[in-house]
Amino acid sequence: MSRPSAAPMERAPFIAPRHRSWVIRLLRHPTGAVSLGVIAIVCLAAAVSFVWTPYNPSSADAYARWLAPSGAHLLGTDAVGRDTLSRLMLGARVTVVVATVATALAAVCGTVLAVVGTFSYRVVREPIAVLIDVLIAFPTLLIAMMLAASFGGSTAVVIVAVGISNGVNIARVLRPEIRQVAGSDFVRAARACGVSKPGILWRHILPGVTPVFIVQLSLTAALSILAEAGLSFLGFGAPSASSSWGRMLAETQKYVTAYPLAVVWPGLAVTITVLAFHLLGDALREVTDPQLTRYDGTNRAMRQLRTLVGPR
Amino acid sequence: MSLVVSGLSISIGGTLVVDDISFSVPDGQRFGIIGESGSGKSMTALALLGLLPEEALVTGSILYQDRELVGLRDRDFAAVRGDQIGIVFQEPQTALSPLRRLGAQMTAALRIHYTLSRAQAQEAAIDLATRVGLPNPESIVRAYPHQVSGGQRQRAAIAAAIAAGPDLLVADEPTTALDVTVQAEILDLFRRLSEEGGTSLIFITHDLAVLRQIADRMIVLDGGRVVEQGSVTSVLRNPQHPSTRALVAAAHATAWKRPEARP
Ligand SMILES: Nc1ncnc2c1ncn2[C@@H]1O[C@H](COP(=O)(O)OP(=O)(O)OP(=O)(O)O)[C@@H](O)[C@H]1O
Ligand SMILES: [Mg+2]
Repeated sequence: MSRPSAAPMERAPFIAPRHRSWVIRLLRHPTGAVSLGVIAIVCLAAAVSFVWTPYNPSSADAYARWLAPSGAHLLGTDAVGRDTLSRLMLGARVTVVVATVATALAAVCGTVLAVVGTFSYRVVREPIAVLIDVLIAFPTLLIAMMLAASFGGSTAVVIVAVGISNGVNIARVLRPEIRQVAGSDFVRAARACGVSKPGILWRHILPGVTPVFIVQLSLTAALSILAEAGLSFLGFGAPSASSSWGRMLAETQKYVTAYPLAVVWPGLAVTITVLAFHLLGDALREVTDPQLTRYDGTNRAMRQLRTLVGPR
Repeated sequence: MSLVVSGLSISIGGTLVVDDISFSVPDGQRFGIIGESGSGKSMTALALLGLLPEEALVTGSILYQDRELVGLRDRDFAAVRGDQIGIVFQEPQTALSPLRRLGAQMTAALRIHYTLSRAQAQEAAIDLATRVGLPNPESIVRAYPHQVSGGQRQRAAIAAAIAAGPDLLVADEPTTALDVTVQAEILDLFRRLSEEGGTSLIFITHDLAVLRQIADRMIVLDGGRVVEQGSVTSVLRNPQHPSTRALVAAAHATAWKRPEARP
């Protein structure tokens, strides 16, 4: 009778290597950390704007029109003498709200469409597949304009338009991923242990598509900010009284030749924030990909170094 | 009689992949199913657990402990899987989720069919790891599949299959993907598990040399039909069907390469 102890041919002793969660790996990822920092600053600016801004962002001052950046007005003032930095901080609120709510809406829409469109009965599944293909053909902007035509332009319209169109996009990306995980051997093995279908969804399929999902979410956030700016610029988004980065662009673009800096600030704010979300998406892709992180290294450079130096 | 399969046919998309097969496995017996690639072995195994692809059409009868399994609703079948019938698949590389620790995967069946506290589950995982001969059970249950070897993964998959103490264990080519020395160890493990727990075993392979080390009785499948059946020794000594003869010849050709655990 053979012993139930370690078999001679297998490499003992076994020591489980450290397995870092992807959150920690993200914080140690160079572009991941920087983009998270940028996003944190935007969120902080929005939060602080509720209690403090350098000036009252809506008080006009006829004697302080088009001031260049200075100690008093760090980023200068606009056509009616309002402080640009204060208005940017106020605009960050809109950006944060739009990015958060639109992304959450897209996440819910996308997951529900993808899951129902993969696992439900054929009579439900197939119309959803068609619906996804049809809705994909409508750009976010078109959906927003159609909504704005019937409900009037507002931030809510932007959120709904971005949420729906990106939700559909997420569903389109997730569906083949879900199908692949659902058809994998380990799902069959889990079913063979008696795991129910909802259990499979919860324990295996959703965790399996999480990397793709969170990358899509960060891209959705980037797109939603861009869409909000674009739609506000065109007059479909935030009402003119409010201060969103898109509105600031719309208000200042007439004077771009005379006061280019006034356009640069909101433009930079949009660009940097959108870029940060894109880079965050890339970083997330890297730190959540099991193929890239299987040796628990923090990044590729470290791993290459380790191969050069040899096994520890 | 523990398992009685009679007149089982499976068709997928109009093609008959299993054609009217019958066999029975009494309690505690080790039974072999052998056949060339594509002869319907895996389909038969999946039918026993109700895991065939949705489009598969099953007719005939699978009686397990006097209960009819053909036509059982998926929800009712889930109560049988893992608890009464367990299965080990061919590919240890892919049979475990890359995202979950070995311990959690080994105790899945236990946690579904019984109520366990976290500490009890942890204890059960270590106990299972010990039973299937995994080294350093306390730490290996916290490892992820990519951190252990192929043979260790297969041991973990076996642990997952036997966790809730099924009375029937189906093994679908569990050693094919492993190298020869590890193969012999895994065969030993199966033999030991079935002897210790009185578990019936259905061992599927295309290798007679493997089968004769583990099974008492066997059927030979060819093109979805049973072409030969009987005790392993008698079939080996006097193969009737051409496809059995081919398998015997193949087994003889490789026999000298195989360090046999036991004749
Ligand atoms: N999902 C499927 N749809 C249609 N036909 C299938 C499907 N899976 C398997 N088959 C067919 O069923 C037949 C039996 O397949 P099965 O997997 O049972 O063979 P096997 O004996 O296990 O072979 P192997 O030794 O290669 O594992 C094959 O002819 C195969 O083409
Ligand atoms: Mg097979």
